[in-house]
Amino acid sequence: MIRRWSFVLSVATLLAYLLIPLLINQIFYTHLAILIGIHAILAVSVYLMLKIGQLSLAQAGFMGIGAYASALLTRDVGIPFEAALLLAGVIPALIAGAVGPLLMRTKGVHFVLLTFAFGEVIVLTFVEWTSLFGGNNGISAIPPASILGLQLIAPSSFLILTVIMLSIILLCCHVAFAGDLGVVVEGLERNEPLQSSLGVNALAYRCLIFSGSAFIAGLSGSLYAHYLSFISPEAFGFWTTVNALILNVIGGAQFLMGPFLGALLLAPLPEIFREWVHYQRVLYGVALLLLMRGLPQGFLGLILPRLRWGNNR
Amino acid sequence: MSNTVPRLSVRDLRRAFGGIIAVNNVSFDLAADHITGLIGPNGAGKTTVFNLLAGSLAPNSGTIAFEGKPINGLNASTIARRGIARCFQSAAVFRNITVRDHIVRAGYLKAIGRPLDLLKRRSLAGYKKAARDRAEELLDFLELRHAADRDAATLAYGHQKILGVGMALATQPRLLLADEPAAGLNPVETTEMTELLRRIRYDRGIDVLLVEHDLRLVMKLCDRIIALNAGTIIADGPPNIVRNDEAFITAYLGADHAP
Amino acid sequence: MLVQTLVIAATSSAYMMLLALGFTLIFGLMRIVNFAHGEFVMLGAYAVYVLTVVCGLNYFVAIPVAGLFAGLCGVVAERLIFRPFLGDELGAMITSLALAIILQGAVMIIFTVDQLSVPRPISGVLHFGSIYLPNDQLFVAGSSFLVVIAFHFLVHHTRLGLALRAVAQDTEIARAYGMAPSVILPLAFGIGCILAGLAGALTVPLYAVNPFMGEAALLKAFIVVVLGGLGSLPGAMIAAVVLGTTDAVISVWFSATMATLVSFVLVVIILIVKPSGLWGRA
Ligand SMILES: Nc1ncnc2c1ncn2[C@@H]1O[C@H](COP(=O)(O)OP(=O)(O)OP(=O)(O)O)[C@@H](O)[C@H]1O
Ligand SMILES: [Mg+2]
Repeated sequence: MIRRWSFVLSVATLLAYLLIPLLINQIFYTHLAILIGIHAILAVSVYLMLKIGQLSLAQAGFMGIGAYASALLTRDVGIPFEAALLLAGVIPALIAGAVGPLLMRTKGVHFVLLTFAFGEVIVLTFVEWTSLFGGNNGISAIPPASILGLQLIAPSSFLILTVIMLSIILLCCHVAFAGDLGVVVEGLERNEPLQSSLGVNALAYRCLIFSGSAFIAGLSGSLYAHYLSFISPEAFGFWTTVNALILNVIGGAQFLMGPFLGALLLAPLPEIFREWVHYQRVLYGVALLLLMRGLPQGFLGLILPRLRWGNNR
Repeated sequence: MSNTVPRLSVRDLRRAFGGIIAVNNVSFDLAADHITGLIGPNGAGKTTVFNLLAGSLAPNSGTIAFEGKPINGLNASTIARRGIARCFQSAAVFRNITVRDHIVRAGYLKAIGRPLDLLKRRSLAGYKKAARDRAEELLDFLELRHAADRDAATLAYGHQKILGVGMALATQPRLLLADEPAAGLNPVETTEMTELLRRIRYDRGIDVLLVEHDLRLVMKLCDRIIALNAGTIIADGPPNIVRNDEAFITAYLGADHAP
Repeated sequence: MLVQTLVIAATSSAYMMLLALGFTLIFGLMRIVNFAHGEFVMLGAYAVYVLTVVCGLNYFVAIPVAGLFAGLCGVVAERLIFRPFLGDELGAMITSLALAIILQGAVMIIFTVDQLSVPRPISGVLHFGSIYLPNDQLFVAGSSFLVVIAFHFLVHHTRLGLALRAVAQDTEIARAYGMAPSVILPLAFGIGCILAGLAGALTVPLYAVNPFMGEAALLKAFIVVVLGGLGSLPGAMIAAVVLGTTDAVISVWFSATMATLVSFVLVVIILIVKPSGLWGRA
């Protein structure tokens, strides 16, 4: 019963999130809604990793891979947007699948540090490989998104695409975790040695989740690139991942809707208070600190039992 | 086949942690249809031997063969799927799940041991059905039927440990590794656990390799005893022989573990 | 060329040692992965800027003051912010991220995001025959090594160092011997931050100062500490030399980015062979 209600509530929230900006019909609100969607998708990719009890700081890097892949494939190779969007997920997923067995041998703090470094390497590659990625100048004149020949130039049409993508991702995660994958993942996060002794290949599953999270991060990158039509390396650095993590913490990372809720609350702030951006940074940090102190059993307390940090090696 | 090929065959097994050699050239064969006790003072290397057998640790050298096939170097889940089960101290892992469901899940998890298995939906349904049937039978065998519908996290400690054994049995192993199954149990629970292990061996025909500090229990239950000290085997044989072995007495009873 | 490369390697190693020792000390004692470590480097650098450019103080006087300032900030941060998260690795990590955001934001408000620079107090080169060694780099390398030696002395030959090592081994036993963690831990955090602040202060004249400089410093500290083994002081020193040297050699022959890439790959390979790092406790 509770499950059904939370499902109805989630759908209602998503619909309201789509319809309100469309009804207000002002570019600024549509713009905010699109940013919320893109941030929420990246935050979901962080959420997937939290679900197996690991924090990956490479997620913005995967987003960047998706963004550059999608941008270059549509602009220079000329493949259609639909295919580029798919590849923007597949390419980071393959990369994560390739490095996963190496990185995922470590857990806890070591995994955090390795993914941090890996994320930095991805950004450095964008900076350094100027001939392909344009260095610090990035890539511009990225063609707008188009679905079935329909160009999504109007922000409202792009918002619809973003909301559809977000909904599909949320629904896929919901369905996957409601089934056997959910059983395996819960066991992995709570008692991996026991789960292995029952015949579950923990490493393979953790790599699967890592790949899946990279796939989702890549999709958010593609949307980002085609919405702004311009990308540069610094958008995919460490702080972007941290931001996505914060969305999870604020929204409540024990729910699939947590990251979306966090994005809804926080993603618009930098756009609304543009001139105050430095002050906002400080406030943001102070708010995070107070939240951590004041609600240890609150938002964060709810995700902590999911995270197994006792054993670092 | 089981008459000629030992269930488990360990040759020159060795594992060091930094400077400490936890397991030093250990070799033994386990014939089928036995309860074998692995004993030794604290830090003798018993748990390390278990970790090596179960694939949670990789040996530095040596070989392990299960029913004639080498298993060293395989990961823990593959070894579990081959038929070696291991019981854990506390088995209540899943949130808000009953004792029955814990046993059911333990029974079908190996059917989805690898991500690709998730795609075989048809055969999975059959597996789950079989796991449910087996769970009912196991609830009786473990004498946990009275608690079948309780949240596993609310079980008393003794019952948690029995559930741990039950989940290992649900994987249908041919060899069960039990690390200190009676540790922390009161005398009544210890007797129950001893009985359970005996029935696992005689009613179900599952071989047991047992690590236990309670020597009385070990002597009573086991067909054979392997005594370990500082990573090497110092005595190996039937309980009444090992009990009188000089090396065993000095190494083991010299410590404060006298029965 | 060889000697010049060696000097760069020594400078780079010494700088990395300062960064990594503080980071690993804090982790070893408190299991806090301090994502704000780079911001303490930044504090040291900005402190030197204020003291010399704004207040007109002598650079060499400003260095220790800047280090102490960063250390004081560390003590305050430990008491006010980190204390409740002892034993909660993720909580402490997020807290340190929050602290990093606050410090960055504060610096942006006060100094704007512009690049600032401190005039070079030392100039000229030493030359032996055909070998030219820049004095400022020699100064950074030399004084960093002096700081590291002082730190080593502190850890191994003083009562405080004994207490630090005892707490790192076993908090409960240390408490039983009368070493109150409530005094030791803020001190240790402060010492870690002094090292970070000094790293910032010593290198200001070489690199410019901006609010984002912490990230690069953090990455360096991370790589060194992961390679050396989290929490291991000797590991951090040796790894700093290994990485500082490779970094210097590759920077000289190829590029700085390539150097970072290579050191990352090196670390990953070593971790695959030995997940706890070269000197980590298994
Ligand atoms: N992961 C590890 N890292 C370092 N040393 C270890 C590790 N595991 C075990 N050891 C060491 O190996 C030796 C054997 O330990 P092991 O746990 O196998 O002993 P045991 O016989 O199970 O002891 P107990 O009766 O106390 O359970 C000990 O000296 C122990 O300190
Ligand atoms: Mg043991």
